[in-house]
Amino acid sequence: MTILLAAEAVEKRYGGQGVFATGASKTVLRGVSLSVRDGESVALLGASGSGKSTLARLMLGLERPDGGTVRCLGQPIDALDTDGRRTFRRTVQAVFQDPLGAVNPRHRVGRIIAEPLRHLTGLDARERAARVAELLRLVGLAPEDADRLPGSMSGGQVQRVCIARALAPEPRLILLDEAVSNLDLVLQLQILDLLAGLRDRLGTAFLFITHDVRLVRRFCHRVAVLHDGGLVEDRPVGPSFAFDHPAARALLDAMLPAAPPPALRDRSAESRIAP
Amino acid sequence: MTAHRLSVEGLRLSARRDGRPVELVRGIDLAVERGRVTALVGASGSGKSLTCLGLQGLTPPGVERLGGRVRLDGEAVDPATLPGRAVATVMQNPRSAFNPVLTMRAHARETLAVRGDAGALDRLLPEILAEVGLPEPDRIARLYPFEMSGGMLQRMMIALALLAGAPFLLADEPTTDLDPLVQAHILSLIERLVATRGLGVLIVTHDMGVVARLADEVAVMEAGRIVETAPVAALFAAPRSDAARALLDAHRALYPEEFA
Amino acid sequence: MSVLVRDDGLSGARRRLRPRRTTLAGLALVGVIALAALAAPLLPWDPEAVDLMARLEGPSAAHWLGTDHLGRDLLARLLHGASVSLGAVAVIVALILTLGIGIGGLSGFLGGRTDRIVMRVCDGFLTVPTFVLAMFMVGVLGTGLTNVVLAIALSHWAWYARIVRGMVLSLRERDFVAAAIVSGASRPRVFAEHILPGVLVQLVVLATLDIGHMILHVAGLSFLGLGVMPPTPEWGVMISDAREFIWTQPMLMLWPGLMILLTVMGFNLLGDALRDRLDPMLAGEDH
Repeated sequence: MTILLAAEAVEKRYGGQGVFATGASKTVLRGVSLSVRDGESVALLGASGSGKSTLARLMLGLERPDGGTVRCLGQPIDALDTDGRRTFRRTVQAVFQDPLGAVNPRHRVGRIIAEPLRHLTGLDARERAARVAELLRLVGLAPEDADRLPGSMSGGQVQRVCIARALAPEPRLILLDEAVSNLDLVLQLQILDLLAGLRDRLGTAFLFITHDVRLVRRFCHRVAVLHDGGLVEDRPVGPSFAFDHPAARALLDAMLPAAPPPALRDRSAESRIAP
Repeated sequence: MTAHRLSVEGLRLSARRDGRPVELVRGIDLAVERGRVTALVGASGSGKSLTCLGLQGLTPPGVERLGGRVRLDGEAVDPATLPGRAVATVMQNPRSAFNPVLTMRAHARETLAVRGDAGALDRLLPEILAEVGLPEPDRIARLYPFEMSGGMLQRMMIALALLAGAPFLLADEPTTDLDPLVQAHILSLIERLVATRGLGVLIVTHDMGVVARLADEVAVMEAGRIVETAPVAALFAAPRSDAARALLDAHRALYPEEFA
Repeated sequence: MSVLVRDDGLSGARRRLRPRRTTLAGLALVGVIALAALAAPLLPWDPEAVDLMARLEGPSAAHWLGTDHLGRDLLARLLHGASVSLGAVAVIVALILTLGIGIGGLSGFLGGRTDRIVMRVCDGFLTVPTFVLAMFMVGVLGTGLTNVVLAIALSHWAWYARIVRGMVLSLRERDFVAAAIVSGASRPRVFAEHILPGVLVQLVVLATLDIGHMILHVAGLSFLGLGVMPPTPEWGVMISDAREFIWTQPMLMLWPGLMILLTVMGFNLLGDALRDRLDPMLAGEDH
């Protein structure tokens, strides 16, 4: 199967910047390789500070790596011509963590969703409006919502708008950067079910960046674990899976329990003793 | 401060929408007991965070308090006198709770000053920082908020709560933005403090995993009302309300092998 | 938390619908003075017509506010002064915004070495107090209204460039800019559609608050004899001319002084009102 997007031994360092510059640079990613094939859902798991978001920004071409290459459909993305860049953007779309931060507060929903259509497709204004209405329905919103401003919607609704925008140019891969972390669990599941439905129908691939192991088990075929700027695990997700690397195992062990402990600890007795 | 039970009766909060008053919290009765963890759960917009604020006599701008009596051990108190004395809080975004230009030591001194005990700073601070899992107290005390991670700040919030000597802790989504390792540490810390210090905790959350991990009692909110109250085991075994069932269904969908 | 955010928006909306009295006062002042500035050239009175037979006269039917030491009509000079001052300030603001947005915006958006060089140049300009810098430039360029306008614009652009750069840098890091890039927008499109509008709104507020300050600059330079030259009816020139008669005809000095006071006050009130209206909205939107 085609490799849609691949990071090849990418490195990223941040120099000592800002007021308290120390001069020493910090290595955030050291030689990370990760690829996503057509139709595949890959989870990128890691604690905060492990470099997940930096890797996402490199793979989206929002920042340049200090070493290594990011390739889309085999082409290095920092050497693309105009047509190549359009192909890259049509192939890979993204949904970010904070829905309200990821939309321009001055633009109406219709314009937000149409943005990739304007830049990446040859649709005229009427065709774009029709496609926006179709996308709004697809993500469970109403076509009339196109006239609303994001400020008048809830976080869950705006995240659906962002998903509609990502789906607009019919990408082959959608990168979800903590895209459901800010929502409550019921909404998280609704959105993941929505995406899973699209995956079944359209064969879209996903790179799902998260710190919630529970969501990985539900949504992904393969899981990679980042720890301290390096990739320490990359394996298929089975009905029950285990990790070898201690940092990855710690993530699994920290998973919240499914049910309260069977013998419910009764602290009331202790606490009532000391008035 | 040896109160054992913090309760609120008939809490009602309303806001104006398009000129009309809309009741967001419609008559809540809720109690927190020392040494126990009560979880307040519900979907977003059900009013659980507002309830948590109302318990401290706080209302966000545009929200009006229509009614509600806060009691400590059955005695009516002015809720505005509670924060920093009987009640300490931990919030979802700890960074906004700290003054960016003050060190951790200065925050601790302020907290103790509310209690009228600023002199005890050097004696208490190292001990309490160690208790919440912030080693090297001298170094931590000199740090500013921007030099600390979200998890460290959340521990510091809890340390300040302990310094205040407050018997009750209100925690609004205290681990939602944190990664699972830090989340697990914070939840263990709260659990330990409940056991060792008899802290009474109200934890507001949307995650039934957190409830399963920590809570003794659960109150389920929907559209401004509490629709079910039950011990945690009973709620997980046999939820009675639709709201509780919806939350549990979503939760169980995440554990396919256990509920296949 | 969405509940809380929406409530903020509501109370903000209510605040916006009910203009405060100071806002109306600012609007009225600026409106009247702008009207005077526009109407002045249409009025039959010539502000430069010398009538040595009618020097230093008090108010009369022919000269409503009296005449100055050369027998020129005071009211006509005050009204024409409004066009000179407001006209000069309009050109200055346009120049400063263009330079500020052009240079500061590009500097922030492109970053890297361009940014570092531009910012050092700005720092150079910012080390000298603006009035002193403007005096120096008039000294180099020579006196006259055009040179005053150039001097004030050149001594102020660096402030705006710095501010614009700061705004661009903070907007550039926002997720919606990243989303626009992922949506395939080219860099100029991202700048024009997502960064510039946000910068403009804030700059308009800032510029309105600064207009009073610039009116004082123009009048101050003219008063010192470095700016607009007599016989042009300019308020600073009028005050300067009236110095000799301060004890005998104090009104000659008080009228232009009052005009400057009212204009500066009007723009400051208007700027405050604009900031109050736009800032909470921006804060709400930013959430």
